[in-house]
Amino acid sequence: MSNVDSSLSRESIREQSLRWRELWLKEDWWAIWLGLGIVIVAYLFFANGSSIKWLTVTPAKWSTIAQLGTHFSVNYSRYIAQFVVWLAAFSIALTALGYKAREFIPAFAFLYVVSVIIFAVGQWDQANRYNLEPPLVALAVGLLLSNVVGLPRWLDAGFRVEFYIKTGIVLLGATLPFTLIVWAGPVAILQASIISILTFLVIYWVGLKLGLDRRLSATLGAGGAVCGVSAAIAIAGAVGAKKDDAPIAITVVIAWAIAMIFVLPFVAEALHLHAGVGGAWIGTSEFADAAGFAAAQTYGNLASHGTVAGSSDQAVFAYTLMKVVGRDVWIGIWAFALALIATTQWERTEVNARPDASQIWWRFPKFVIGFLLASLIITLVTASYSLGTFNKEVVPNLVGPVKDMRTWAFIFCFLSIGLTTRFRELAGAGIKPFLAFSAGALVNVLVGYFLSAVVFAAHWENLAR
Amino acid sequence: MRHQQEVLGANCGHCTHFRNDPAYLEEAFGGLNALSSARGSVRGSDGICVVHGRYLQTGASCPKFEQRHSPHLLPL
Repeated sequence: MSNVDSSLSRESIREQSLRWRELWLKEDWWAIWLGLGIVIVAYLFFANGSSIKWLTVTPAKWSTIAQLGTHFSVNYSRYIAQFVVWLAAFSIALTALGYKAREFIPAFAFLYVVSVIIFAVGQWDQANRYNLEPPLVALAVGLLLSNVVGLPRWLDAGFRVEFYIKTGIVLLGATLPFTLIVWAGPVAILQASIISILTFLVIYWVGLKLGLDRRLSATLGAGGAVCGVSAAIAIAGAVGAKKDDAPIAITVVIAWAIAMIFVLPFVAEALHLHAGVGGAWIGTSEFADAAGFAAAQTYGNLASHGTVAGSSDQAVFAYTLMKVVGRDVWIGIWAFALALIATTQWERTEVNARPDASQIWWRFPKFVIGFLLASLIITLVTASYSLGTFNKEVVPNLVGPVKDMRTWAFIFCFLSIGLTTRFRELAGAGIKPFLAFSAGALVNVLVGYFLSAVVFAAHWENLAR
Repeated sequence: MRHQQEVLGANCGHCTHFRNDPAYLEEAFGGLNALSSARGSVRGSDGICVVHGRYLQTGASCPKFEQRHSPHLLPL
């Protein structure tokens, strides 16, 4: 073997070995370490007769400014401690992911303070009257700050939408019984699969009819069918799309996803959908995880105010099962299948690509493993409690505090969506990609409604009842 | 020779024209970090070929391959 060949062999080995670097170089794994870490610490405190609830403080309901002031003056040390814990945990993770601590720390401090204010506004007893739902307020404030006021770009180091939502989803697993996932998962997968395949085919077909390139049509199709921007870039890479195709898909996904955050919850409310049904519908209609959680959480909040039948948890659980279990986990298979089709059926490009089945695993959204593990851990360690003891001991001292941490992670995420969405920086999508995607989005919404509110309505209404 | 190169790793992942650094991608794809991220598992280690203007997997290849000289590992 020549020296050059030896060198190439060494490089191949090194490239294979770097796969394991995923464990500390991908945010999915850090979301698992962080989320499971919180769950395990919470359980250890609980098992020793204590709780982490002192740390997981959230603003209390208030009706006067004086009440709010009293809350903060009594609890300020808890907020400081919580901030320090979040900051330390996120700093370790984001430094490993390549961010500079000197940029992340001030950015997160800003994010935390604004999040506390938004959370407090949402706890005002008149908030519901003015539709001041924290997810929507966070998004609106973020959009205003990034597009009207303008923030330095380096602050993005602390506005990590995906990292926060993945951490929140792992924590969500701890509040969702594993038995519920097993019971409701298959229906979610069935419903989501029908929607995903149909939506993809509609966008792809309309795209081709409008004269778009196959690779761009597939990139748009995956964005609408699977998991939004993440799916679009995964498929763009799998099929070898032009580098301008992914930004086009990103633009149309963001435009639709943000519009639907503000529209879907209120349309669902107008249609008098049960919280579980509304959550499932949002799970089939929203493309991006983070945007969908904002809409589902908003709908859940409407349920907790009594405006909508059902509970807040039902909306969030139904959405999670539909989106995370039903759609997200299949992205690797979509990528492999489309890579296979692209290389064997479509017109050749100047680049040779070979479909690689290992992509099914490498592209798998690993945070889902953390979500399932968190659910399994809490389900197992609390299995021996009677319902009465569970509600009296486990909920306030273990599940409740973890849920509060999840709520914080979600607010960081919702605010970050707004803070990082700068409309002037989005690529021009053009009318044809927008029309193709919109056709799929329309099918998504209509068929999703039919399946959620008619075919499987009883299933979603009974979820976690 | 071409087959041998493919087997031994003469692909985009080792090419000097390939860019898959997450920070570079988030800069190149406006809005990527608003509802997603270049640091997630679903992206794999895909990157941009600056010669062909395509977004590719590391395993792709073409006749314009040029071995990257720096021995550093690829960022994911």
